[in-house]
Amino acid sequence: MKETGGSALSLRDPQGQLLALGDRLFRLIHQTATPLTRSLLSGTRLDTLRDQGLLVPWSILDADTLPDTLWPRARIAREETGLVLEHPRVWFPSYPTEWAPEMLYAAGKFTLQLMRELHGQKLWLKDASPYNVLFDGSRPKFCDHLSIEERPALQGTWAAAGQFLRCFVNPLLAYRHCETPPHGLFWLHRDGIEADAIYAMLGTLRRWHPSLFFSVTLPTWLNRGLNQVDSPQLYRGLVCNSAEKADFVLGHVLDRLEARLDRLAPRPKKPSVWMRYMESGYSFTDSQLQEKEAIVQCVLDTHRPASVLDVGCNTGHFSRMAAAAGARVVAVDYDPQVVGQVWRTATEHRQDILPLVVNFARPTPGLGWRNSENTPFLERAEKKFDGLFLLATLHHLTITEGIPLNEVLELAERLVQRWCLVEYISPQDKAFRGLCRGRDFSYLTQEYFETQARRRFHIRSRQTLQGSERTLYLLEPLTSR
Amino acid sequence: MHALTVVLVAGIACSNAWGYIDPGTGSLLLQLQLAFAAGILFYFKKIKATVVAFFARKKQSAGESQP
Repeated sequence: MKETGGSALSLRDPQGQLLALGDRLFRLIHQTATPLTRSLLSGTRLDTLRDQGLLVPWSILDADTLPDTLWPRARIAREETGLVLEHPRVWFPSYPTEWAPEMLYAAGKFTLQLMRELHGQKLWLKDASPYNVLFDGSRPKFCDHLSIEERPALQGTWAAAGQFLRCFVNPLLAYRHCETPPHGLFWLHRDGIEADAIYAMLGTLRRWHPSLFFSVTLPTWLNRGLNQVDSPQLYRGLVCNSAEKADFVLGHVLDRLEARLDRLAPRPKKPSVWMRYMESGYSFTDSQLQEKEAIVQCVLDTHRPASVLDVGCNTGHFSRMAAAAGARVVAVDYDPQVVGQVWRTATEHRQDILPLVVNFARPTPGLGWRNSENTPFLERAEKKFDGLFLLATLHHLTITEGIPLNEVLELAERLVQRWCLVEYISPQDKAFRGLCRGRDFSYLTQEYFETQARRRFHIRSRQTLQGSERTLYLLEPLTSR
Repeated sequence: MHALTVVLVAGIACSNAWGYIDPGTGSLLLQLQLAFAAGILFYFKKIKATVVAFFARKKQSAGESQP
């Protein structure tokens, strides 16, 4: 974060606000919410969840010890603040606008798991937003401590069930039946989508499909009938006449939600055009791939990076090599299917890889109120990584996306502390020619690349893959630490 | 009971949608119906548990009365 004063990261909850100051994160809690929050956080009920790694840890601070620079951006005044928490930062926060369908599903499962744990302790979540879940590598963590409340003893329904459907179930439903990747929906709809939005995407016959009729068609029809109904009773939910019954009914409601979510678990679809890139042999022969692997491994062994950004990660072959060498990896690609594949493999092998659906040529901007609720991708990534992989990606940026080479190199320099491993592909390469579609990019010669690279980097090594038009460059920023 | 009335009314009423109606109320109604059904299931389970406990007690007392 580049701010000198406090930066507000949340504003919608009147009970509290999250603020960043440099690398520190503070949560201000309004005095009206202080007694409950203090009793929850000081007691032992949430300790197990924190110890299991489900909740982001916290420490309670004295408000008087906070830096003065924090308060100008705070919505809760110093005299209204009853409690202050400090949280460790999750290494690389991400948002639903960047998640593969598999990650949204995992966040939904995690939310229900947490809700069940809380249910057993007479607590619940007052909302069910995917923005309350952060991924630490591939492990989800819950970050909104103010969402945890005492559960009304007789309440048999979950007040946040509607939000859970909007934010987790419906986007996955749209993905399953309409091929609409969830991350794109969250760009347009902060709080998920309603059933009627999916209804509008379906043809007449599809609306009668058994798995869509009760989830989409019937709710939409019911909703149309509701313009004559204005009853606050509806929002009270089902109030039971005994706590035992309420426990049973709420447990059943959670079971049904989980069953609906599980039916929508993303499964491998017809492979996208990039899914079989590595094994297709289109760009590399086996021996060239082995040669490339040896170069990457040599760089990893020599530099021992703590963190790597893999741009255009495809199915994560080189991300996994970096993770195996001990690096924390953020792997980005614009194809949600390949990102989902990286996610599945990383979780299966318990590797510290955070795969994100990010188009490097159009990275996630600041979103939300004043564009400040979600930090832009580049701001989160700036100087965050020891190393950067730009493998078989540069030609896509310069040709397909039309980004000037010096711009790409300037951005690469902004993101890394120590080195970039860049694969240069000459205009004679068949993949290069395929992307040109008749346009003239013959000026992107190796000499031109090296001239541009030297403006910002030391060229530490160059190795051309035998029998190919591809050269791997190890670049170190002129301003390297 | 009020909630159930709303569910039934909404189930049969049908006319044009309005922008100020919560677009999630259709789903909310179905959730309520689900919870209501679970509430009925709860009573069946209670009755079943009572019957099972009754026969278990009877069996136990019969076992104890034998020499």
